[in-house]
Amino acid sequence: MGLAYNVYLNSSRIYGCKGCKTHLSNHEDIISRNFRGQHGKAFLFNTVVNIKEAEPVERNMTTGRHVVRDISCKQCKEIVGWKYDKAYEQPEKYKEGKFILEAELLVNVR
Amino acid sequence: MRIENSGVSSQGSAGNGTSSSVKSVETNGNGVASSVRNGSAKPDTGSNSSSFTMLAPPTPKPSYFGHDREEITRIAIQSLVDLGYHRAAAVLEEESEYTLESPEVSEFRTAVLKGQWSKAEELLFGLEINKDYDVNTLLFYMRQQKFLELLEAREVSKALQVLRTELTPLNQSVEKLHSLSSLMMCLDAEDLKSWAGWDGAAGLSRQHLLSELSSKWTPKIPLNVKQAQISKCLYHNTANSPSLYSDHKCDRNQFPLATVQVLKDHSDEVWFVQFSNDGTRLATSSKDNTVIIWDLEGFEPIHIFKEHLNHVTCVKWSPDDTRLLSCSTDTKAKLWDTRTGECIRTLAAHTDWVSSCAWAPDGLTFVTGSVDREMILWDLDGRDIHRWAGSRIYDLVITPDGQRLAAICTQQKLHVYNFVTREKEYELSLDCELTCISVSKDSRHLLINMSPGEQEAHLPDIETGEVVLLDIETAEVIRRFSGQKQRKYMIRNCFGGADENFVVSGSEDSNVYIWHKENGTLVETLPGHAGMVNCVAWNPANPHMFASAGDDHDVRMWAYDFPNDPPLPNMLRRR
Ligand SMILES: [Zn+2]
Repeated sequence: MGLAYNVYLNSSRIYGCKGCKTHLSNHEDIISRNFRGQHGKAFLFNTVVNIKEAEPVERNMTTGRHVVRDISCKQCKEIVGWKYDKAYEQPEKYKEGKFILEAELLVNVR
Repeated sequence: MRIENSGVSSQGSAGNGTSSSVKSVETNGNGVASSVRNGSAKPDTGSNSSSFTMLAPPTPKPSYFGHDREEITRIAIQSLVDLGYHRAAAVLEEESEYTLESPEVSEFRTAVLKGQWSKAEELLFGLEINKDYDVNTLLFYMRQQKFLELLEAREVSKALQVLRTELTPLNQSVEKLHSLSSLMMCLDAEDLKSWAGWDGAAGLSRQHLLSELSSKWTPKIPLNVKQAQISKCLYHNTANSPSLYSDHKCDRNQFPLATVQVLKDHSDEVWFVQFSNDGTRLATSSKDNTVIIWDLEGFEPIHIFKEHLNHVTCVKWSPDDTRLLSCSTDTKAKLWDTRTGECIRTLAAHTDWVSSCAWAPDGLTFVTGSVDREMILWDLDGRDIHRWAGSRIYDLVITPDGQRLAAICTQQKLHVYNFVTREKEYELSLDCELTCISVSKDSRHLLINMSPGEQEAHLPDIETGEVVLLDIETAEVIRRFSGQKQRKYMIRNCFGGADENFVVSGSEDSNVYIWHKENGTLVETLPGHAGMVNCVAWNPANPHMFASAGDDHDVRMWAYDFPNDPPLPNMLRRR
């Protein structure tokens, strides 16, 4: 579908895909560092760029039942985290529409 | 003859019929009214002070075959001046009461004709002189006349002083100075005139001087008329100037509207296309990681370059067509020999996708641009001579006169550099995603594709992009062409046709868009591709041919269809 460039972020601290360096999010967009993913430490981000979202699925997590979808790097297709579509528990609602990126799959880029 | 006006305006349909004061009636330059637009008519010099008196005939003068009377008359005056018929021009000015000149020019003209040289010099600096001319050249003409007139009047020592203190410091040709000083040997005025080929202060020499000078500042109105004709001709595609004697119109049938060939050798989306400068070959680059050079006689591939490890974003021919540059998302640019098909150099200094490249007009250096925030100037040996850092570059051009480098970046900005000093001249925020930049042959204009970009999901989708024509010197937008659809892909544009009379763009809706450059009209939207049209290019040597590259893996060659004419290859040979 034509030549499309990735979105390039311009903050001073940018997280990119470990495999291909594609920009994914800004350090300033981190909402919480207190998450864990399949590869250990993970961060909750307000927004991410250059990702593809998979179909939504229901998943039981330590904080309860959620509807989530995996997100993968648009460039190298590697799965880098997930997005919360819906949280069933009231205290978890703040995560809806937000993204998890796994620290192990990120690298600092410029 | 003067007639008494009964008090009812006889201006007929001039739309001001209720006014009893005829002098205030504004007509469209149709003659009798004393106030004419532009304020260029001479004031009514009639001795009458009564507002009820007017010149006969009472009906407005007719237009000239539907053309504005004032406009035609001014063109006639200008033409007479350009042709050197100053007296005829003056007579026509007097009779028509239209003057061509601003008061400043008029005053200057009078000073020259009266031989008031110091006044004339003073006035000269108030005139708008064509910037191609050096003021010193004009001063030299004037002082030369002054010098000759002094010699004619036998004021030899004054003449010598003019030669030494006024002519010599202007740094004009030494030869001219020598020949002027040799005229000091002349015995008398007659001798001087015959040696100098000059007819004296009382002759036509001041008139000749004026026509020499006036060509340096007066706008050439007849050229504007031609421009106006071209702007009315939708399919204007010839480099010859249209005749002033007939209404000009190019035939739509001679415009390249038909696909005459489809080049199908790419195995994925074609992203870029460019003709060689001599118009005999075509280079295309593709998402399939290859570059193909095509021969336009038989439309066969001559070379297929397969060394890039990822998509090829852009290709550019060297000015002499012996080299081709290619840029790739594999972070490399490559330099190829277009005769042997060999890769001569791999330029590996970028750290992200190489988006674009351009040759300096001398073919000795070139610039590559990347989204890694750098543009690099290289020589032919692959040495990196200079870097411009800071912006992630989508596309760049070098003006054909070698004076400027212009680039567009991911931050929606245009950056213009002096290519000689390498310093930045200016940057301009355009508040839209920019996807392509082209430059006109005269180095004065830029063509930039703008996309509304991706919108937030809850907003209605806007897909219509714009191509803007910009003055590179002033950074002003001259014209906007809209219609092509684009949102997130690198849709490219080009100038097209003889004299670059057209603006062409690809589009996400699979059409090719063509606009008239002068009047902005969308002339054609050409279907044909089965998918996005990524890039368009016009044959620089044949105004009747262009190419488009699509997501459908195809390159389409466009020309005009003529059932009774010889087959295409012959037409291509015709220049
Ligand atoms: Zn990646």
